[in-house]
Amino acid sequence: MVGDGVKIGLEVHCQLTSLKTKLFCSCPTDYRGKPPNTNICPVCMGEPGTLPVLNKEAVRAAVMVALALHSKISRFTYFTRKNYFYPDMAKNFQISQYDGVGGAPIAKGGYVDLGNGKVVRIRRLQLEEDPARLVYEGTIDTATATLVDYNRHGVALIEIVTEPDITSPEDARRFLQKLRSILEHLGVFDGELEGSMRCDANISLEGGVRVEIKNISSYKDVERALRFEITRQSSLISRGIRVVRETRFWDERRRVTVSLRVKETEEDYRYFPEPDLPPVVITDEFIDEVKRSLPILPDERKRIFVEKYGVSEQNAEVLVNDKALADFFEDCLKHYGKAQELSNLLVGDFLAQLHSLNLSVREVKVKPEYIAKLLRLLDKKVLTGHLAKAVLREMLETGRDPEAIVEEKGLRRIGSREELEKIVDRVFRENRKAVEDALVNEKAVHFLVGQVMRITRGKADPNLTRQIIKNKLEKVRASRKA
Amino acid sequence: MNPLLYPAEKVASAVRNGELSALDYLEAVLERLKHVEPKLNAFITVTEELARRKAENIDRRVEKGLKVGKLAGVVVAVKDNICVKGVETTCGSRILKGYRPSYNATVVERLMAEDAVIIGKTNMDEFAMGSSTEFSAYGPTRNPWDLERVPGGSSGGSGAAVASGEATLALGSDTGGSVRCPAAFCGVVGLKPTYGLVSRYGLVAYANSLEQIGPMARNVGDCALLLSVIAGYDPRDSTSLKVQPMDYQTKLTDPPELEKLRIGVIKEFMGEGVQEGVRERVWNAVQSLENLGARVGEVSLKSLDYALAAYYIIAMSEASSNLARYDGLRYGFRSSDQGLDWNRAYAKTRRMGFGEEVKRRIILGTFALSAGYYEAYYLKALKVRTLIRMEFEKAFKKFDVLVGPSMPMTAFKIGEKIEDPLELYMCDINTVPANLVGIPAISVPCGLSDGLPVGLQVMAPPLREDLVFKVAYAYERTGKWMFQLKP
Amino acid sequence: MPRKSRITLKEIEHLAWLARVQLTKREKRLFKEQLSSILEYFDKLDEANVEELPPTFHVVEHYNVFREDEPRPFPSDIVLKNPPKMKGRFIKAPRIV
Ligand SMILES: [Zn+2]
Repeated sequence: MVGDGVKIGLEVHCQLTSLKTKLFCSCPTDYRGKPPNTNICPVCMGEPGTLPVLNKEAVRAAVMVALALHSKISRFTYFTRKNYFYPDMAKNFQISQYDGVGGAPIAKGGYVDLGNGKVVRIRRLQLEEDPARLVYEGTIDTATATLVDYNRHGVALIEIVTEPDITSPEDARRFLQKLRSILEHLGVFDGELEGSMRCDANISLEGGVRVEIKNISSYKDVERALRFEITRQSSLISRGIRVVRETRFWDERRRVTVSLRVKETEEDYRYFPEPDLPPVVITDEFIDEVKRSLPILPDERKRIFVEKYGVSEQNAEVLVNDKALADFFEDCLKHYGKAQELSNLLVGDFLAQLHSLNLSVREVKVKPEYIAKLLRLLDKKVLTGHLAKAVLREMLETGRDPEAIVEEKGLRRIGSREELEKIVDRVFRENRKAVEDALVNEKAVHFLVGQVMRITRGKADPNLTRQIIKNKLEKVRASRKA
Repeated sequence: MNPLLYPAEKVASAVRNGELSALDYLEAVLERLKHVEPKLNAFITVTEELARRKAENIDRRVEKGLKVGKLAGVVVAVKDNICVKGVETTCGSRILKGYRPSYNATVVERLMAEDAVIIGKTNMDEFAMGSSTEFSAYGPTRNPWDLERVPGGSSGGSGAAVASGEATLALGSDTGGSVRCPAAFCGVVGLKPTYGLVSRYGLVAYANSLEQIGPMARNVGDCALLLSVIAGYDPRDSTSLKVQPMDYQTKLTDPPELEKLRIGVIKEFMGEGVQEGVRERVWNAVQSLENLGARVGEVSLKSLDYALAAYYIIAMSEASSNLARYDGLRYGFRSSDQGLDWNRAYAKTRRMGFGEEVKRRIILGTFALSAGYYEAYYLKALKVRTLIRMEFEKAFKKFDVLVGPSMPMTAFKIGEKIEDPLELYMCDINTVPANLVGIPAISVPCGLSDGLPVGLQVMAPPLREDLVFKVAYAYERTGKWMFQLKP
Repeated sequence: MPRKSRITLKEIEHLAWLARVQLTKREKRLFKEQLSSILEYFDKLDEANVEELPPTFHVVEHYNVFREDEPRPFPSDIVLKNPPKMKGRFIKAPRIV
């Protein structure tokens, strides 16, 4: 079967967006929305004679991440030059870290629990500089020139390298979501900012070779890119064509991976310790201090949601995988005590509607007390599930009070038997053929219920409607027999 | 006395007191420069107008009775690998043609704050890779003592400028002897400070872990004065040492106190490879120091046999990475790259922009760091560095300072060693150890051999610049050497 | 006795590629000879008994040199005076593929 024996490893680069300055210079990091090459200085432009000076907060942030991922923090760490030429590098080497002779990354090991019974092991964590942004005039393989914007060059990245433990594109996405949530809980990262999380993936299929995919810039794309790659590789394999070991580029516009046709020669990064930066010694005292300041993290939060609030495991996992959603849940909980019902709404209709509106939780304008009101309207049977959906949508679009929406649009449930019976009578008159079907086929009843809903614009109480229709059908049957 | 021969301190005090106008002094220096520069080619850029404006500004402030700095009116030449904002900085390379730094090196800021008058950027071996200033894209500099000879390198322009009166003081940089070699060849004083004493911010990197900016002057006092101005902690250089700034000049006691000072003559520096005349001058100088009360002994540092190889491996490795940034995109020279992809465009710009010696060192450095060779070369060299450090530490337990010739020879003829890179590398045999170990080392003139200056090298433990100055000053005070303006 | 060449032309070409420096035929041949003799000189280090010694990466033993996370914007227009080729505020680089 397609997708069997897939092994995926990720190299995730996250900007430490909580930092006010770049990793090695005092340029501000608020470059988004600014003209190209505005947040630059002699240091991050690699002007001759300039020297890097390490941002103190970057080390603290990295230690926080390491603790959150259960990694082993190096007591002695230093920076290493990774030497390679590329137009997005001002110095044509990247100040990074390295696990080998001439290197010691800030942390090694650790894991992320995906919450679905799977655990992804972390290989290492390292601090490094973000490369510049390249703009191709056209696409990468046809552009005649490349334009370079160094605004983000030098912004602090934490690179998180996993073991090849991921077995499906869905899990790759799940991993990134969980990672994002952990980093957001730590307060060192904001996944909402464009381009703040990027990753490279390497993937191999059973019996195949490792292919690297670069330039994946969101967790939605990681799934798309990997799916594409699995389909591409398995179709090659099924046609008896050998998969070549190569680096491919994810073109997010065309949603395909393209071969970069890199030269045959093996990369040789010539790592050596950065002579301009003294080593960093991380003491137990420092680690303890950071540990004490660590905020609550998703796994712990999930436990609280389940054990204290009584939310189902499944719902809790979805909630904590998005920090903003978990926060919103807790805010709503202050106004509405039934945690499980609340979580059902949030992980169900709420997320689904956000998705279709292309909104993130943080963009939601709805006050938590309005969510509570909505749930109470359901509890009091003022709204049917169907109506609630409509009201929720209106709330998400406008941020208005659900009661006001109900009043204004008359979206109350029709629960009066008398009123509904009149409508059912009308449906029976207008759909004789369907009534005939329904008499012999239970499933056709559904159509009749649907007609009632159509006429009432969903306001009819579905249970009552069904009951009235069945009674009426029974009467028809009885009259025929007689 | 001809103001051109005034020591820096006297220039500054005369300007401060209103006895000498900074502008008049500058004009005298400029006149001298215009006279000798066509013969010497010591400068790549002369910043005449900038200098005039600064001198005028100083004079105005003196007139108004405002405070002026320690180097008021003193004319300083700056090696062309030290960044001066807005002034073309080429490092003697074509690849940096047109590059105007957007910032000042920390040492330049400090010079300006003390009201030095910067007269220009001096010639050098391309990216400081050389010992003769022949490897400059802007033509060789000539030795003021003999125009057929090299001034030493790589700070040959700075050495020649000070020796010829084109500047009162100069800044050089010393990665493996690049201050001390031209100091010795041109008959001036030059110091390589303790690693980390002087900020490297704004010094275009050749080999980061080895180099320091160093002062060059006509006498020890001036050299100490210039160091006092440029030394000190700089938060922009993470390898900069947090030490209290010191006034090195006041440490020079007169008469000098050498009683009980233990001087070790390094045997390996006085062996076969050394020119007879050089060895003689150095022994005579040591004798003079002994006469002043110093206790002299000999010391052997066996590991010095490995110093040169270790030095070149480290320097070239770091250089291959440091020089990667010259790709034509952000500054300097860019070749036409119509139709070329970035790989070819870079390779072409770098072919046209770099000279042969630079290419040689980049290729060798790339080799030494590449997979499979890293441990055999780079890492091995760093271990040898540890060995040499240990031997120096041991020697400094027995001796306060270590001495020997700065250079095993006097200035050689232009073109004499240019064909054989290894032979040229060998010239640095006595200077590289101080860079590997990170200790201060001075070259002070100690006489002539066949009419050419010889330099005495004095080394001390880290941050003991006061000691090397003391010994150099004591020797200078014997009067066996007097500065002579050349040509 | 002809000196054994320590480095081949092919290796020189590979190193030149890694370093992105185009070499002329003359330079390649010259470097092959010169680099071989320099590398031979470097072999001196094999005599040194240093296996057990730690490497000296930094001569000065200091650590934890940090900068506070306080922004200090730099006037970018000065920096942008240097690039030889620009398009608007972008710096122009050659094509990638
Ligand atoms: Zn910057």
